[in-house]
Amino acid sequence: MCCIRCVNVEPLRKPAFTGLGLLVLATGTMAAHATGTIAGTKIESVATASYSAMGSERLSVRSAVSSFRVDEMLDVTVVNSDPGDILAAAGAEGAALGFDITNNGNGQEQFSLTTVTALGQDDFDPQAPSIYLDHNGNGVFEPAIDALYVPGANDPALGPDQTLRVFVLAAIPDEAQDGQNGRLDLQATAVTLSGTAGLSAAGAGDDGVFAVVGPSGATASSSGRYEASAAALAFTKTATILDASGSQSPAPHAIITFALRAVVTGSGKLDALVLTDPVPAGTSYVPNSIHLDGIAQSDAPDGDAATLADNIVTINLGSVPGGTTRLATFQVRIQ
Amino acid sequence: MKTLLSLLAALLPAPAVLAAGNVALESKIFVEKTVQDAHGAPRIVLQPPALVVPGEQLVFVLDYSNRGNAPATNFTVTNPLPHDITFTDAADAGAELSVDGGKSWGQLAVLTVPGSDGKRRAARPTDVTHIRWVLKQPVAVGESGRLTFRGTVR
Repeated sequence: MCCIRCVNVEPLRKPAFTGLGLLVLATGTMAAHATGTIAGTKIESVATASYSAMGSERLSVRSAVSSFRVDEMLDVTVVNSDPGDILAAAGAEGAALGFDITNNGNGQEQFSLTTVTALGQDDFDPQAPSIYLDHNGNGVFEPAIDALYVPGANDPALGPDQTLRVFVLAAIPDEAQDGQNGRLDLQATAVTLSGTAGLSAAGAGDDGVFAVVGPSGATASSSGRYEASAAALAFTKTATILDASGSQSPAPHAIITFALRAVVTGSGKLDALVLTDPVPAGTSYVPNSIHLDGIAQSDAPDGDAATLADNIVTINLGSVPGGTTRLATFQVRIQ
Repeated sequence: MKTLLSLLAALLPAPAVLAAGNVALESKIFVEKTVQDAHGAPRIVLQPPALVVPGEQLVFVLDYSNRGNAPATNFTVTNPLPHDITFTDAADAGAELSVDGGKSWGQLAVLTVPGSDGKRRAARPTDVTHIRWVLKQPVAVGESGRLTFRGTVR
């Protein structure tokens, strides 16, 4: 216990109205309290005195119940949930930016959502943003399941301490260059009341209690960021000849090893990258000679990346991010 | 402060006072608010609990008066902590606390409660369930007094 506030030892016996004057050292202020007492809860206090008078048995007296109801504080936070900038191809719709909206108030509240794209400290403005509400709470954007947010029509209602993930999708301008950033803010605002902390409205809270604007002003926003991505492919092919005598002349029966090198640069990635190379005329393919990054591949169209069909070597590299080099090799024998 | 309280008293409707025997006991709740005075300095005032949100500091005020014709001896006042209220402190060191529903009493520093690991741990303000005052002197005829404690809305 704080001693500063406990100095009133003797006044216990003094006639009334001494105690309260000593309480002015306190610092009672409105603070953000997650998991606070639910709005509308009735707090009741009652005291009992017991005593003897003129040697009587113990007598007791109860005070009347003093009570009040807890009012509703409106408070909200918004936090961008992305691990970093979201890469998105210039000229295309970007992937979902994630935001977590948390009702830090002590009542049920609806929040209206807006996006802001004209912000400083970035290179481009994401375009035509749309907001989706995570319908099943799995934190993953699912276009077929998650509802498009329509202001005033499906403003999300959150209970105390409840969090909702929302997604914002926006397009990246055509002219965005590789590595440039575009920032987007999502703002959530309590529908009942917002503005200066402490602003209140009688009867507007749950169960008819006051609604009071909390420290956040009952509005909050957070930034997500797109990074425009582009990727480039540099492709080289080399041949190494080794004949039976150990020389490197293209003699009959000599083995040629072809090396196909794909170097992807840029911050983006190349999707569905496929290398194909026909077996040259006058040579025959050495069965099961394909290696990808040093790992042997089968010729059959099975689970691995390589196939040989119609005398064409096909290597399916899938999605290749910038900064990656893939090396495929195969061998043919000179006829 | 006294002026403020008289103002408050004038504003408030007179609460019903239950009297058994010859002692009256009245319970009131106030909320501490920080306001700016005429010079812009922060000032803490007590207000009726017209607007209270979680985290706010309350002052519980118990007024007693002996309206009978005999002193009240062994005078004890007990107040269970209302639900959703965390004990903060009492305005006088004579208050005793209980952390077990009023079975045992003492200063917070000497009280213990069962911990989550099965061992007993030192009690915290959040453990307090009751507060009481045992007056050493009788309450004389015509005498009145005030007891206060503070708590926070969870």
